[in-house]
Amino acid sequence: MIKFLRFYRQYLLLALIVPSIAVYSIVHFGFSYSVEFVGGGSAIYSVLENPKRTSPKEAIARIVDSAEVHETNMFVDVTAKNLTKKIAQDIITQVKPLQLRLDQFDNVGPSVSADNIQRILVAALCAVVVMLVYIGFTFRGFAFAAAAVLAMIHDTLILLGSWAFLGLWGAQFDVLFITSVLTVMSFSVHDTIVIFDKIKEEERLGRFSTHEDEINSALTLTITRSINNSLTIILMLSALVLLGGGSIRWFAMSLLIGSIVGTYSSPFVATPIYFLLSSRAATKRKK
Amino acid sequence: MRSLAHRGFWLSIVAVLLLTWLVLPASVIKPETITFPIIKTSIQVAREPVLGLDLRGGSRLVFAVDTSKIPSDKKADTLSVARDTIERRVNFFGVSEPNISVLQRGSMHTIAVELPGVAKPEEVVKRIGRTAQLRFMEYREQEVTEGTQTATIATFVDTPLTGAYLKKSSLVFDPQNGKPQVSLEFDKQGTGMFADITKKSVGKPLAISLDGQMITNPPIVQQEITNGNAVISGDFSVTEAKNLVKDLNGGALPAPVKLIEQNSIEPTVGADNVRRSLIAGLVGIASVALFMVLVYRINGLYSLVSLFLYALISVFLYQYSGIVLTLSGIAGLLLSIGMAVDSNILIYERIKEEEAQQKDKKIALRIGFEKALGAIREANSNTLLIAFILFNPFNFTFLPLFGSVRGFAATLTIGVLVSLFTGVFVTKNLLWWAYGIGKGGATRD
Repeated sequence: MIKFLRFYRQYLLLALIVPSIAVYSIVHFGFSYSVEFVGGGSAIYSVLENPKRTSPKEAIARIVDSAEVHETNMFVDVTAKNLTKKIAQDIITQVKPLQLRLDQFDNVGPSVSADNIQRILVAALCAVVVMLVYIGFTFRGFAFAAAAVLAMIHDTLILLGSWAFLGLWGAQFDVLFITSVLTVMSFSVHDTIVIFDKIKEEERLGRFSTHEDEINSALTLTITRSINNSLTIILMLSALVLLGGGSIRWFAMSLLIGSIVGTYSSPFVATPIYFLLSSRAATKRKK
Repeated sequence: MRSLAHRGFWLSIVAVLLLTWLVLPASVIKPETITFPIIKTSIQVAREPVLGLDLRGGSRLVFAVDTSKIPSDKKADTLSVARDTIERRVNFFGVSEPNISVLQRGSMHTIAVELPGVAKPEEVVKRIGRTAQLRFMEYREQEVTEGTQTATIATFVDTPLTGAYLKKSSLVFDPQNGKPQVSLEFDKQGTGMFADITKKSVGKPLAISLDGQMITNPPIVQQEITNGNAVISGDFSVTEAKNLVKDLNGGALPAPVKLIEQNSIEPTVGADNVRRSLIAGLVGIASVALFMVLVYRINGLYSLVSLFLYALISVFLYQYSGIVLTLSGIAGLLLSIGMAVDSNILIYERIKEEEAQQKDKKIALRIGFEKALGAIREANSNTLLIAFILFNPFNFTFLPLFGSVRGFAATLTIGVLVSLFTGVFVTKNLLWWAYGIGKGGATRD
């Protein structure tokens, strides 16, 4: 049996420090929101003349950041977050010898409205409440539910924080990322429940004299499963990050971060929190 | 007992073969459809999964409908007319299976247009954005007095005659010079109005405008026109005239629309996405399989059977259920394959644990399996609960109604349910069969 809980104070300290760094990262770097969230400008140009068959993409990239450019022989279409009508006109002078005419300029509104963001938050809250009730009910203990949910919040914060940091390399806060945050939330709890189920069993069996050892035993018996299961998921997601195309890469990346953190947090965050919350009740039970 | 178990074994083999056959594409040994001669129905047995725009390429355009000037009881009508008009206009482009839907976004009414295969929607955007309000305007002279000076200013004023009274418009060619023209034919009411207007305007110009812009230099009315036919001869090219005819026949939009969102994916990018996801998926599955065999040896091989069945059933469900498969859906599917072996790992670890305590391998197997079930049940019910909230089946307005979040929740649910079936039910039967455990746990040897 491995004495996991010997350093439980250190784990708890780490579980406070790392999410704090994550919160700092969110505040400091902020998210790089996609056009879906902040809106932007969309310009459509007609190609009047293109003697050298030059592509406008490079010239446009010099003027506007992360612009989405589509081109044909007849049209060029640019969408970007900070595209204004003035910049759209500047583009014309910058892409010579290609001659463009600005046909249409639209301010693209955010397609994910504040309403929807609010709804996602409500959904996340609902999920948290449902999990609290569900775990509290099936495990007959508030300490289990609170520990699982706190660990989930820990994981979510770390994912958000690393995303803000990865924003420096182009990770965007888009609808796919929201989907992956929600998945990581469910994965985090899924993983924790397996350990808690084992702890519950050890508590029932009462093979050990201390509550600490009951938990140590449960962790020792489930750690291989946790690692093996995470390895299969990590293998799958790594394949997607390395080989997958386009937007799926970042999506897989966020899921990868989430599953690694989610695996770590079950034994090293959720379990110490549970130990802390339940120790008084457990001592009473042991007497 | 033994014959029953055998029957179950053969039945599952048949079921697996049938599934495999259904999933495979049509070929020499497999027709597209099977027709039953007696009940005269035919079933399509070779299907492709429905691919989302990000996989087959195409554009998604979202237009906001300006309903601010429309009384609230007419809003629903206005939106459905706008939807139909946009659909007619899109159909002129020959787009296959466009998907046009009215969405409410907060207090904003929007119409989303999905155009599979159209990666450069500029032309479509221009055409849809046109309200196509055709107006006829009379010439009027106005006397303006400023100080002692009096001048006559020529203006055009709106008449009640609009494109709404148009019966048909078509492209004709001027018999004299072969130039393209647009002919107009009014309905009964419009014919009367047109006669009135032309009667008043003999010898004067009559202006025709589309969306506030003069189509052509106002022609001079030669005489009263009572048959309800008119020809606009401007300096059109054939394409311009054709487009004008299409716009007029397509009908006017009841309210102005504005493009608020545009998302295009080139078909080549879509195909590339599919190809790369396939490769990534195969590499991923292969490494998971290798991992399971290396770690769990013979039991790992059994988990490959359930993994294979898992993939087979998932592909079957995607082909035959009509769920739209998107890039995030594929990611969800692959993720759930990674998670599908979780049940196997849980069971095997539990069995190992029991083996350490119990001497008999079969008893360890049985008890380990039973004990793993509890954890599997609780962990998966939790995931299903969350998928339920994300899918929002009752359309609660306080929860998100995003297509992509919903699609992902659907994938997740399918993944969890299928993996429970293969990871628990199939694995149990395989292990029971392999170690010779009979029904109810009685040993068979």
